[in-house]
Amino acid sequence: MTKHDPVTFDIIQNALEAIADEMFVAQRKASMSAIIYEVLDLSSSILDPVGDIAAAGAGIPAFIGVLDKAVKGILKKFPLETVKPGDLYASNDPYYGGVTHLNDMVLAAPVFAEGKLVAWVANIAHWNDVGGNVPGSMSSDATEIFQEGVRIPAVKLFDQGVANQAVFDILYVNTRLPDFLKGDLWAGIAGLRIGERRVLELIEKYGAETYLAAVVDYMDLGEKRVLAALKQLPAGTYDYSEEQDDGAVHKLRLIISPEKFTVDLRGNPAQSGSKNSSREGSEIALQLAFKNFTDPEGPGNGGCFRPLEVITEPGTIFHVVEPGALGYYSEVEIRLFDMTLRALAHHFGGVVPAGNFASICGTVMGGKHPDTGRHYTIVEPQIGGWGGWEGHDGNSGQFSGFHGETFNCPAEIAEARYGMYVDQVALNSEPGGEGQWRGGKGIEVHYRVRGDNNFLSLGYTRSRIPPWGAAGGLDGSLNYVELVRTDGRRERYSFATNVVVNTNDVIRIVTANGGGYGDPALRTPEMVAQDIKNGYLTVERAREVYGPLADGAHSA
Amino acid sequence: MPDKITRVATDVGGTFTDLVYFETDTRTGAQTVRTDKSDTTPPDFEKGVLAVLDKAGVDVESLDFLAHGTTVVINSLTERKGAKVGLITTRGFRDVLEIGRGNRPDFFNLKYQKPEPFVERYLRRELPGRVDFHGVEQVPLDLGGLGQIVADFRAEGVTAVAICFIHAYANPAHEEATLAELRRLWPDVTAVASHQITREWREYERTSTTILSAYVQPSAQRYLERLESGLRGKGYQGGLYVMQSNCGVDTVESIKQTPITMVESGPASGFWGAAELGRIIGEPDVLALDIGGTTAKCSLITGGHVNIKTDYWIERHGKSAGYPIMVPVVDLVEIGNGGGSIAWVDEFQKLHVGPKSAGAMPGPAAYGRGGTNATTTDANLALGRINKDYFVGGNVVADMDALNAALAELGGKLGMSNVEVARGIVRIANSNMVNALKLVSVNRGYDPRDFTMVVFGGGGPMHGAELGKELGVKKVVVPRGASVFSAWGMLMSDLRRDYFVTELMDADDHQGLASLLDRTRERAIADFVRGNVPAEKVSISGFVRARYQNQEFAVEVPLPAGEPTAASMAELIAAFHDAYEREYTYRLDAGVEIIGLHLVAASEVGKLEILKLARTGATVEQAVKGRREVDYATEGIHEATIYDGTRLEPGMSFAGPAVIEDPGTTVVIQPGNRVSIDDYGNIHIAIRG
Repeated sequence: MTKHDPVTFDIIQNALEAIADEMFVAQRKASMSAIIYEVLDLSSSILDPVGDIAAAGAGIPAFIGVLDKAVKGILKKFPLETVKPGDLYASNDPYYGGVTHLNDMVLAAPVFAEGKLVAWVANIAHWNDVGGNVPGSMSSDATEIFQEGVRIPAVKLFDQGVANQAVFDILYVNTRLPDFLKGDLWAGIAGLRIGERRVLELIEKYGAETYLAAVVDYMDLGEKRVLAALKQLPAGTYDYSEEQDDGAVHKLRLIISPEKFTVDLRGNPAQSGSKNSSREGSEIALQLAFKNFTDPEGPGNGGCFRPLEVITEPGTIFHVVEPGALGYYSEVEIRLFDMTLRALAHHFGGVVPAGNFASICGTVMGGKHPDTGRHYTIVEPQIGGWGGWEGHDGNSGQFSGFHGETFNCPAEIAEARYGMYVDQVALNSEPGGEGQWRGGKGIEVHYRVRGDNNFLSLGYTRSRIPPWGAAGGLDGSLNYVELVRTDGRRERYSFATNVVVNTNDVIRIVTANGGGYGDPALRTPEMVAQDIKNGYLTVERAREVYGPLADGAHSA
Repeated sequence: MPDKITRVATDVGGTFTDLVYFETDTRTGAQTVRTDKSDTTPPDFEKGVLAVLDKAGVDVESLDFLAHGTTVVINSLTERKGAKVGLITTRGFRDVLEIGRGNRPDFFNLKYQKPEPFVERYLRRELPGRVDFHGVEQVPLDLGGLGQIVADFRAEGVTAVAICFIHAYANPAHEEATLAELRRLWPDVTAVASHQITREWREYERTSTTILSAYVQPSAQRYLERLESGLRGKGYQGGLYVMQSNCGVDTVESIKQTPITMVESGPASGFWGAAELGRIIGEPDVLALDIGGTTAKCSLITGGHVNIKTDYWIERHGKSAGYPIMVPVVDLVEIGNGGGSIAWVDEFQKLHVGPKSAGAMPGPAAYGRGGTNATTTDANLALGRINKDYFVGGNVVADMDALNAALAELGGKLGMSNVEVARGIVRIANSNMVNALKLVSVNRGYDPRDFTMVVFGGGGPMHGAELGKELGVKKVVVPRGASVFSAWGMLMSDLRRDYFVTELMDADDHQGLASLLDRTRERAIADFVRGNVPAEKVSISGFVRARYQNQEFAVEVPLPAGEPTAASMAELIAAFHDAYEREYTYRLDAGVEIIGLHLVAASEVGKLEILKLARTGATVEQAVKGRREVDYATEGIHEATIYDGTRLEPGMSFAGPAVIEDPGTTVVIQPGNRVSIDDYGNIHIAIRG
């Protein structure tokens, strides 16, 4: 093999990241659904010939390493030697390379140069509606995947450049929002086309051999960076189990050596309802946790995950088998993600911050807009409090670890767009999360309903068991929604579907304060006094958890 | 008629204060141009300005026009040297500032640190009172608590107050009342309310903008006052105009009220200059690149139009969400890659360039001021691209020993020779810049091959031709005076104000649009008249901002001519669909709504007209300084002809390999590229395909 110039490798590797980003931007821009272009529920990747990720475009971090599983799922059905130039594959079925749930459509295409397959380009995006028994296709009551929409089990959308019109037709009739589906589908195809063109330009410039060598080098770099972090951890076997809001107990076993990080998920609860994850989905949650604590700075390519091994048991919530439903896979994944971080915090103090509110806190509200008469729907994840860590208080009001560059909706825009008033956007004033380094604050947002017969649906976890404190820090507070009716009655929810809300009902969205880090007694009196001055802490609570107060500490 | 008109622009940068002086002889039409530089003089920046005027021998007393750009605002922000600000906001919303938008750009990092709010929570106070998004009062304002707030702010040493209420963009009455009462209670405090700066929705962005404006206001006002009195002391009689971030200048009186609009004045004038240059040379589509000491900035100009937006953030990058400043700013991408950017090797033997910079002190290793890090400038020197015997225009003796030691340090880690390291630095710096240029072009749906690249700043001409080739542009133009191009751009700028106003209406509501247009136009003209510009001298143009119902992204569509009518609204909607499809690649059969206006009010104030240069009949050979070996990194080592840039004249042409040197810049020309000098002295490099 020829010796390659390392700077050329750097430039090709930078270009791969830039191409993945360009694919992402192109798809986002062309998408018609807000959940794609605003919430960024999409991801794009360039992969190597066998389906390992060479570079991934920005999206939500929870989509890290989705597309290698997708392409490998497709390759299970279509052996490599049958793949031809001009083919383009689609899958949304987690039992056939779809990974997450039926709403997430994967598109993938091979890239051929110099007569051979040199790369794959692929993307995944959340489509608003793919049929099924409820609008939006995600039903908390579903028990089988058949109730969740149309299944596209890794099929060719294009066969050597020729459109397979039958599949397009099937997709178009199996949705309540055909225009949106059509737009989102073509946006995805546009993203692939750009990726393919750019990879070919790169290969034209540097040659296929240099290109492929640079990809291998890049993945090796990813692996090297992760292994360097892994070596810091003491080898051994570590167990952890954790009670959930519903009383179930989730557990895991970590088996750590300098070369391998194994997570054994066998023995977890049996699958039920729609709160299940595919094996691949569970793997992604673990990859994200693994990436977070080993090498948050480095590239997110396939090399990073070579040392990670995941063992699951079919038929459990972390490895659902056909025909189990997966609509609400995301709360299952985030529970696994959070438990993994908690296990690390428990066994290797300091490697990660204390626990955060750790729920998507998916909230859906809708009804008729009182000004326009048009139907409105708010679909939003919530922001909450993050945990403290050595030397730092936690962040307040930030999206969960599954989100990254997701933005909340300003109150001024929400009031104009939706049939709700926003009476306050404040930090959560409940106690919890105190410590030497305190947790960040969750939020307390009040929506006041402007018309009758509007509805509210939600799915929050960490609603009974609070975010965990670490190293002696106190646990945080809880995620929940409290409905304050006009007659003063209060109703509290964590999971609910289609609760009717009427004029002047107030929906109090409360997200958790993050966990504290370190013994509260070690927090400096100056910082305690400043917390009181800033209204983050009451004098009473300060006395209770921090002990006698320094002179001059007073309530603002 | 006076026998000459003289104009000066001064631009305070991080390292140097630049000056451009134009003198036009009104009888012969002949123009003389002088440029000069002197050191920037923090914290008393006005001293550097006065010094460069002296150094250039400018007769300040007879000067007709003086434009000024400065980094004092951005410096005060980045160095956290501003006022202690207190915020007054709507009850229930004091935490908006701390919550921000909830995003986490460094999204694999669990220990991500959110940007610290500029105002701590105990200085964020609330008053009861609400208006809705139509501007209709829901809850009356209660100023009863203001006295206590003022007392607390005084006790805490607050020196500036920001006022920002929910939906004040739609109806500022509560803000106006609070501001008036505050001024009565506390006459000597600096105070600013959000509606004075922006009339757009998004409460976090508006609150942040108001606070940052209050934060910089006292120091910026002091600076402008000292500059004014310094100039008056030298006998200056004319008007002082200050560059803003929207590519226009404004009067110093007006700027003192909201100095935050100066935040990106330097880049704005450079990009405006690039657009003006494009107009002069008949190239309306320009990819503009400004490479300075610390950063490279780029912007796309289409059809002669510089895009002005209010989506501007400071300190926003992969590790931080940054802080929004919702004022009109030229649309640009900035990366930490300039001449002083430091090359370094990570623990996995990967070479990187930037974003850390060696700054002015110690500067690149070759400055010989104790710098031990190799920078992009050092690499260019090592490769012979910069002349070591004419370093910084001959003002600095290049310390080649220090440079070689710095390169050897990196080479040791990489197992590479010094030359290989230097090539690597140049290639990686170029790769970083190409990716930034793609962000403003290909990532927005534009093909660089349709554009002319205009490169300026100290480093632009050094890298421009290579970058242009990589992107496939047809031509790269290095403007005359490229190193002081931002100052030049100021002399081409109009007195300009951009009014972004949010007001939601259906797309067929022509009466609603007519009313909004009238009110905004009136406000604009009143602002100009207050600055002694007669109404008939103000030209008004602008855009309607529209989107499909309930969407997030709005598209700007040019305002229809005349008063809006049912018919012109139909045309507007058709134009919206076209513009939307161009931007987003599809169109919808859905309702369209207008979310507001972007009105541009402008008036010419002593704008410079650029004249063609005389030809003396000198030959191109007379401009040749000599020949030397130049390492073109990816294109091998060639014997290049070295030209003296000050002796190039219109009509001259030659081919690469070549280097053009003048006191401010070095232009590197690859083998095979053709160079020609246009009528105005600009250098055109035709890129070989």
